[in-house]
Amino acid sequence: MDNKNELLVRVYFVMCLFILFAIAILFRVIKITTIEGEKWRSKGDVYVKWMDTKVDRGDIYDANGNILATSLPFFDIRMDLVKPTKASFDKNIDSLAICLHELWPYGKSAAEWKSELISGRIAGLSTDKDSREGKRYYFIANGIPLSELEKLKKFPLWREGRLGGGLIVERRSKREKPFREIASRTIGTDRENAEKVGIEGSFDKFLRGKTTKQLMKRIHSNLWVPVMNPGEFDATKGDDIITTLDIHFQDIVHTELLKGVIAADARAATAILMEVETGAIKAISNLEKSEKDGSYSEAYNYAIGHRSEPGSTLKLASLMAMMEDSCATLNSKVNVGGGKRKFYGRYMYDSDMHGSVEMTLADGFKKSSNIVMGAMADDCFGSSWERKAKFCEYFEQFGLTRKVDIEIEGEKTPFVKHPDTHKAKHEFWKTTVPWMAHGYEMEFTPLQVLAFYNAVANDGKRMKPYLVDKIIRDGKTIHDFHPKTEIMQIASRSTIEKAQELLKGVVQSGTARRLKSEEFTFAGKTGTTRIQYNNQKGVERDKNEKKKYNASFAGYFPAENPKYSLIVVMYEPEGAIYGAQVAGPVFKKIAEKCHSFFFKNELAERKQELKDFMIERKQSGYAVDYDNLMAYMDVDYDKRSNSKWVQLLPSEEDVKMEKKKILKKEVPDVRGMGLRDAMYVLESIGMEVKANGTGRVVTQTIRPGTKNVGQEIELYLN
Amino acid sequence: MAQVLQFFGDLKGDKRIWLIVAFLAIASILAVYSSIGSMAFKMRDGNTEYYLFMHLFYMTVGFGLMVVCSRMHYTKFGKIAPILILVAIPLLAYTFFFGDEVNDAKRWITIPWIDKTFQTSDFAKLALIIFLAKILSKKQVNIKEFKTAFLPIIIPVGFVCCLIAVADLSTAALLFVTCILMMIIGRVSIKYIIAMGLIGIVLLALLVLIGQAFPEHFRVDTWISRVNAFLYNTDGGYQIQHSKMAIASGEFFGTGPGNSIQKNFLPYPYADFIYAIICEEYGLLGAFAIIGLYLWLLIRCIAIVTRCPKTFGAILAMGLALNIVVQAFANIAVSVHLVPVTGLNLPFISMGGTSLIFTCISLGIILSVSRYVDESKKEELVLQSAS
Repeated sequence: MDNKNELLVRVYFVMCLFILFAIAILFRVIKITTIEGEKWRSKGDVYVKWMDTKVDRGDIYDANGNILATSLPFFDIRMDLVKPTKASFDKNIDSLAICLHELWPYGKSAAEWKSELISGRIAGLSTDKDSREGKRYYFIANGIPLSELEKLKKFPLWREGRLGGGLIVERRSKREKPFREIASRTIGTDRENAEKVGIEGSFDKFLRGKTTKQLMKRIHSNLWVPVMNPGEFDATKGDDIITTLDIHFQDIVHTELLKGVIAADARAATAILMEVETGAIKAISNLEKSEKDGSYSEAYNYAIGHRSEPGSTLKLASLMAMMEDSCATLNSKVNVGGGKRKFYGRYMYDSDMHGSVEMTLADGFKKSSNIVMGAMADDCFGSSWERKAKFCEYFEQFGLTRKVDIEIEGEKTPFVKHPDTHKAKHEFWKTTVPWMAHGYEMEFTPLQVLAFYNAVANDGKRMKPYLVDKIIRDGKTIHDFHPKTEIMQIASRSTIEKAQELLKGVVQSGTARRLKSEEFTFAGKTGTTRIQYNNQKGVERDKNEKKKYNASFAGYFPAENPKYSLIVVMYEPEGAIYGAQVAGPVFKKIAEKCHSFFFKNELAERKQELKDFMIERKQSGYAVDYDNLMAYMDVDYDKRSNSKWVQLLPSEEDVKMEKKKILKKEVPDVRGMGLRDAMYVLESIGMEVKANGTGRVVTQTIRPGTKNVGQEIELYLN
Repeated sequence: MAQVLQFFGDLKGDKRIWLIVAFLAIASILAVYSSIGSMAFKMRDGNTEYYLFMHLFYMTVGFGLMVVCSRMHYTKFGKIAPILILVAIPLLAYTFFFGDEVNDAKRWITIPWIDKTFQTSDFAKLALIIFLAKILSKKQVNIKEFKTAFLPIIIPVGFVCCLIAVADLSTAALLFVTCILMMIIGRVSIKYIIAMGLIGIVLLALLVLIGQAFPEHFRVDTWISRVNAFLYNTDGGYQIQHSKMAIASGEFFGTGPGNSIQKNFLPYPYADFIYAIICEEYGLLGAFAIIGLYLWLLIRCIAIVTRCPKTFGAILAMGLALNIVVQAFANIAVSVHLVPVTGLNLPFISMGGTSLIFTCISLGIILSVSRYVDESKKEELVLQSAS
């Protein structure tokens, strides 16, 4: 064989060896992927799984930036005893044990810590699988707060980080409401394995943030830690929710309602405070008596979720229907039969046998006579199906037949009968119109009633009630829920004016006259509703059955230019049952406190504005005027001159009052003065003044300091 | 685009080898970037870019050296081969006694001033292969003789391999295999080679015995436990099991770039087990492609040998290529549980400064050979046609 061929044969032989080796490798790869594939893939799954990253839930704020609900983090701590090297473990174990004991002095002693950690490490390092089991990841503490975690991280050994020191931190978080019970049902709850309610529930998709899947590896039977995967940390914190609630008002409402409900010994109570102009809900409270110990707490959102017959508060709607229809006037008279009158075979009673024979519609409304409303409505609308339908359609016109679509879950659709839907079912009786007229045979939630009263307070413009003002992500507003007008005008101008007048009358001379206040005015309507009040003819009622009532008061304050509307409902009070006695005083208390709070605030705000305004400009004028003004505004100022004319100098902290020089021979600088002062000054030194505009002087045609020869000067005011 | 083509046109040597290099570089960058996550986390607060940057830096330096080597005449390497060997031997000895201890093995020395560690065996391997190619080509005339040819060849080989073996048995074994393959190609008598193989086994046994006598200097325990794990644990140890989970979950098309899960569990996913990560992320396609690239490299070198069989250059190119491919297949064989666990890199793909640099130099020399072999062949043809 020649040399060249021998060499080539050997080269090809070597090549064949490699090709065989390559085939062996690829065969092995294919085998692992296919034949053994299932086994290895499932084995791989045991070690790792994708879990949702834990991100901080967004916070819920009130309108002024107070936190209503937030997540406080806490931590579970373990230590991987095998992770530290022998050298650093031996070096640091003593000081670590001492630090642990110092952090939790009532726990284990330093010696106990040391011996447990050492024996754990020995077991964790052992080659015997059984003695190793569960020893490696040593449990240190559960549920410690962030402050303690920060300390732990600085301990010897652990300050080397998770990989060097073996500290394993598992983060959890707990939802906290700093104001506890206050509005808690509306703020809602966020518990694991439970349905989320309130704002927490309805805005969960914003609050919970963006979780991403994170690869977790199992280090112990049920303990998973994140596998270090830097790419997967792009989860973002939940959005913050800014509510319309105002913790000051909320506090007032909650406190007063609680006092009221305890005094009335009612089963439950609710109160809602709404801003008239916008429909923003400023406060909402729900209290329910615990069956166990009789204490009251926020357990169910009555304000939004509980629908019941409203009773007399809804007389306002039937009255407005009659006014809109012009089928009756406020002076129309009705025979009230002394407090008891029969309608189509069924008796209707007034709340007391007042003995009056005749009453005007206006009086009947103010005194909350059921018969006046029932009889008048029957006269107006009872004559035919068309008229009955017309009556019901006014409720629709007032926006009473639809949900208010509050943001949180659980609102019920109002129940209002209509011949079209109830005639066929034989549920629209002859008595239906008179009974609807005084608030029965229909059901609303307190919030729905309040939205209607709010529209009346807002001169007929119906605003959509809302609870959430803004959603904030990373400091930027991503949703801004502006006030929304639902109906521009629920009723004619004159109807609204009459309604407002009558609601004022209820407090002036009607059922709520005892609540009248000298300090401030309010308007509203009482309601006392008999519940489980069966309207069907021929059904025998158990004479011994205890009569149950709901007492309510709906209205707004101040009576002129109302700022807030408010409803208070007490469910099943014991003892006194009347709206005016049970719900009315709570309404008045809340209104009184909110009123003084608001107007005190408003005054302070105006003062600040005025002060800012004065500081902003170089004002000058008559010293006495400024002294009076400053005193009125309660503003501190630095009076540096007793001169008759003064000049205000701008300063951040206070107002400085300097002498303003006025010389007979020179044209003075009157810029910054009001017209009256400027005219006085200039004319007193013999100049002739021509003024343009109003406000304060901004320019003068003759430069200050020019010789005064009695020229004519022109002033321009802004 | 034209500039890229221009640049590619300016590169000297076999264009297909350059193409293989380019593919390997792409595979390397993808696999390393994906698999360094956990190390980046340990050392650099998750700064994977730092490691990617370092890897790219080494690649650039390596590429530069490759270009330089490809432009040098390969015969120059032959001339300095004895010097290289004379430098390598004391370096290995120095490393064994004074080297940096990493994972209980002294394989590294720190280069003063630049503070970079450097694996002396990488240098020794290169030196030995060049030297072996040199003497094989020199002794071609009387290659079948024992005293004048075989002994001068086997003595330096055995000596260098033994020196490496004390700290790094697997590298030494692979180098020895490479040398034997070179000798087969270099027409050394087969019976001597078989005899030598037997002697090698005896030597290995001896080494194990010595190692057990002086455990503080030798890693015999590690070797024994690895072999035991291979022989008696059919599923493999922890590393192998995770390697198999990686390969299995790749299936046909892989889980996609960067999506490897097992990279978080495998030790050295960017080096020893990078093939498993490639299988996981790129599936069987990736698995075949990598094997294919190495085989292609070998085939290109065989092409050089067939064109120019007897020259120093042909044996040199073949030897360097064999060194790369043997190590590559050994690394892959570990990942698929064909051989016991070793601590070997996947040449050119794994992250690792010096190994990458020396692989680049090897490839540069192969390219130089491919260039001058063709040129000398042309000259030959010219001479033939002239005569």
